[in-house]
Amino acid sequence: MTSVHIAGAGMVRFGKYDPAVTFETLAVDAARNALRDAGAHRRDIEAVFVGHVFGGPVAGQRVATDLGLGGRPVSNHENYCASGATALREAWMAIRAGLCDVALVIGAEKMTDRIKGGVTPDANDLDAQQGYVMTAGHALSARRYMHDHGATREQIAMVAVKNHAHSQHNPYAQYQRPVSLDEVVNARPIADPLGLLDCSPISDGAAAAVVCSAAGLKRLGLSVARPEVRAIGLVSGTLRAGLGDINEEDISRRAGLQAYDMAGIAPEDIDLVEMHDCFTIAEIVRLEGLGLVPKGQGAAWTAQGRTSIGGTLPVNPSGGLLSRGHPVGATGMAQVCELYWQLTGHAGQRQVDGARLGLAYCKGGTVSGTDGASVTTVVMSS
Amino acid sequence: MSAIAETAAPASRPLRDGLLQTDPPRLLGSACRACSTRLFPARDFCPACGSDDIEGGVPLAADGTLYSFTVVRQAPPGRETPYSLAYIDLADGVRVMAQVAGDPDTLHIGMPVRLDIRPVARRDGCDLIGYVFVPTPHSEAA
Repeated sequence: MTSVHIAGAGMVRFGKYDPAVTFETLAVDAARNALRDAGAHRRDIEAVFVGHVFGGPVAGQRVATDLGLGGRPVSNHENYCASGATALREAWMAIRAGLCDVALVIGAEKMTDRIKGGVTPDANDLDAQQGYVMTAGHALSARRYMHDHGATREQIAMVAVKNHAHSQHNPYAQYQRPVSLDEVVNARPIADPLGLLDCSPISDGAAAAVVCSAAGLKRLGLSVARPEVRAIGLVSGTLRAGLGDINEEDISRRAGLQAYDMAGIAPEDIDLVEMHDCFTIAEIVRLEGLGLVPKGQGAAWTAQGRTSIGGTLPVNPSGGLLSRGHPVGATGMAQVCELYWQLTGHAGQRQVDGARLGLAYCKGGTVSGTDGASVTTVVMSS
Repeated sequence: MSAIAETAAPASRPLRDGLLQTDPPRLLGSACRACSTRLFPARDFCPACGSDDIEGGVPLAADGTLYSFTVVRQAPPGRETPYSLAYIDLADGVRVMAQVAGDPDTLHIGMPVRLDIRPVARRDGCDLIGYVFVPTPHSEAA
């Protein structure tokens, strides 16, 4: 079976764009950046995979038409905040199956003109009918984590301080300024104990990559030294009976194991992580679920700087969702762009020294009674 | 069918069929005949042991304790804030997500609470009957 590589990557800066800047505009700009980076022409692209949540029916085909890629197989992929990574997984499977050698993957979202007050589960979901919003779920997690592990509010807030410190050096980040611990703990409360700066913003943006087989790289005239996609895990949540730990993160554990097994690696081999920090506490419990940080120690690790650039396990050198922004369908591909830049040594002042093996994690959506809806784990090596 | 659908005035209906009964007020779940695992809302299979031998419409314990809670201060349009949302661990081993009525400042992990069935919303001129939990009076908590 062929190896699968990222031949080129590109994105647009995440942020709040004018309503005149459409979903299609953002996606096309990100795609053209990726094509240019790969040295690929549109005639090279054999299939297009697009991840989005709110783009509407056949958004991918609208984008492909604007790119001059009509006629090819185009598919749309929705797994809430894991949609971008899910689209990548579909391309990765198609290449491994021998259906194509060069594919374009785009994650895109235009949110600021259609989402107010935060994202929610589907209206038919029983938890949603009780008033569950995403922030509330993570607030319940944070409260219990503090109770069970003696973690402090300040330690959890340090995830935001750390990720904003990283994003100062990311030209694609929505927020590129540092925030202080005081700012985070004194921000407007959203769902106790979490405040505004514990939450990723509602954002617009797009990110893309040209994904190739070994033969595809050759066709583009590229060396095989492009980062390899070693594994992509995908799992869904399971119904949880009984009174277990809500921070058990069994869904993360299973997604991690799937990717580690497939890539033939152990968690301790990983040099850096792009983690789905939709909320501060989420970064902590998910790292623990993946087996990258000992149970109950994620908050302390963060406060000690062990997950900062220069620490033992740098997490979110890009600034993560908290700082880069979170256009939900684009996030998974933005993480892949960041791993690509880190693994090729092109991450500028946020470069992680010795970055050879990276993991990108996304968690998308909730289903009442389960430990989540979808989790993706992308393992890439230089 | 839940009791509410047979007895309540036509001006009200439950949030969802089979979810609750009013007399006595109970949430309705399922119980696995193979391993005794209870679940809310009811399912026709057991996620714990995989059995399909399931009893539905099982009234669940009305008393429980707060496993975790939050006060939601910002929500999408259509929902008034603030409100308290919690995981409640029922006495028979079922965890339920629901709102908790009463002073949010008094809430704490482990706090005893009791089920209350009441109208929680109106839709198309009809009261939707749902459920909240209320702090258990001290005299009964022991």
